[in-house]
Amino acid sequence: MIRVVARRVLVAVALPIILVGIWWSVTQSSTDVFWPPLSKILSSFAPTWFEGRLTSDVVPSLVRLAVGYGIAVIGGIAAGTAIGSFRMLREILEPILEFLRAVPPPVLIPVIMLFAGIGNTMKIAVIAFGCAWPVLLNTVEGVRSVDEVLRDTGRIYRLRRRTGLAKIVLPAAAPQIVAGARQALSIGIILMVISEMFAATNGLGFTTIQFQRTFAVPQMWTGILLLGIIGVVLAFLFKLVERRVLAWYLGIRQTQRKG
Amino acid sequence: MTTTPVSIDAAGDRDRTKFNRDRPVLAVEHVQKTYRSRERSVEAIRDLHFTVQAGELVCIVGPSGAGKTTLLRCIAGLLPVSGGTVVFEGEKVSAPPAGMAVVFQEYARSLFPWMTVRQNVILPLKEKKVPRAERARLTDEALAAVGLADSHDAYPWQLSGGMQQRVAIARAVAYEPDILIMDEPFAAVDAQTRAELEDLVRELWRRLGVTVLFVTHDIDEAVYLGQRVLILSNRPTVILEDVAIDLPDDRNQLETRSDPVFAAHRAHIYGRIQEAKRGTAPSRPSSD
Repeated sequence: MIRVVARRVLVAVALPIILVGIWWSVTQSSTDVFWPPLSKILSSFAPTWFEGRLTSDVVPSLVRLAVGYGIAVIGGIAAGTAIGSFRMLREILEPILEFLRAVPPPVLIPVIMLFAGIGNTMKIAVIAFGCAWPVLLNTVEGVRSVDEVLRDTGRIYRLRRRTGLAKIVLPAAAPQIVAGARQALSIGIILMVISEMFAATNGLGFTTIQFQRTFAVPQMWTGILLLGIIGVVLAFLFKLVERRVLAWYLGIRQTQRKG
Repeated sequence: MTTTPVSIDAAGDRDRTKFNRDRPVLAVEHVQKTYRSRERSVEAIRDLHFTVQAGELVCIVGPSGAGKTTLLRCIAGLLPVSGGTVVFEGEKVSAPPAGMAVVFQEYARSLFPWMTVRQNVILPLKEKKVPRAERARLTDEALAAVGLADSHDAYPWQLSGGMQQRVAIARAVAYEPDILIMDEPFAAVDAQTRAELEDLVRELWRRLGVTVLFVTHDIDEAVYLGQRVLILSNRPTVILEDVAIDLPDDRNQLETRSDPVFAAHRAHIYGRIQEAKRGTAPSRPSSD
């Protein structure tokens, strides 16, 4: 058992270690200003981020991401459930949704800046707008494709609309909703950074761009590393939530694979 | 079209209806169903007319494609009829009525996979506002009755097909319906399990006195289970014959199935269905 775990850990970390090793050795004697040695980047990591910027830049960024993402997930599920449940609504909204979805969220930043300024509201709005689409569209699809027999069962036992929604429709659509939320999370991280590159006074993206503009190259690299780490940690947290929410679904898939 | 007179006082007086064995619990009155789309219309059910008395166990048997599932969905109020009416406990059915439970063929799609066995059984009771202690008792009893007293906390997909269908039956039984409708419930389980489940249905029916309407394509199953067997024709569906099964109430897989009466019924129904399949077009039966 322990050997199996050890092997899996080894397989998972082998490639990253090799790549970091290559990076380290290739850049070790580098004098290129834009490609500083990895050792230099790592040694400037702690002073760059852990002496004040954690609270002044990293936390504000993450809070904006959390709020924007939260709005997108809740709003996307709510709107998606309504649209998925009523065919009329779907037919009316489909063309508009297709259009809005095709608009890349970053181009909305100038527009949103006009009425929301350059503060938190603008950044949260951009993140929420970008994240909402995968959640919304996946929810519509998930709600629409709830099994006919499940629906009939709910009707036969005269489940009220609310019960049917909470106990049948949403759980049945959950695998698709979660898939949408996962997609939205990576979009959210991208938009968190981009929204800060346009106009901001703090944040991860802002600081990283600021380093680049002032030729603080090793510090710029640490910003990129930190963003990567945040992405990995968020993905891991997402997986934990997914395992709880979709325990039944993962269980079914596992029994199917075995049988 | 003639309609059978339906006593009006039955409405809202469930108890009296339940124990009055002379009044039909379910009256299917000249029901027709035609599926219409823009291009064409398909006549699925031409004319079905029959009643089920309280406490009866009636089987409906017909060749595949006879519109059995369509009929069942019409009776259950899941599908609007194109003509005629379905009357359940004195009231016209337009949506699934209270007092009716359905066990579907596709047990894996009818149970909620995100709920445990117990949660599956108890949910309709909560929705019916059955008091807490009462619904716990009903759930315990129903699961025990189908032989799943040990599986309360399992998830349906952890169980075998036969056991999953037992959960669906337990859910229906705990709901305390006045009529239990079963749509080819055992078509997807193996023969051994099937025999066990057939006996379970007979046992539950005798013990609980619930009215059962059992739809199947299996002639043996229909004769073994039913007090009456309604033979359906091919599409567009009519009832070819209403056969009373004069087998004793105590039935078991071995003796009943080798009983000459069983064999005679089986042969007769088999013949009628073959006729129907060969396409001796069913003429519109005269209205009675």
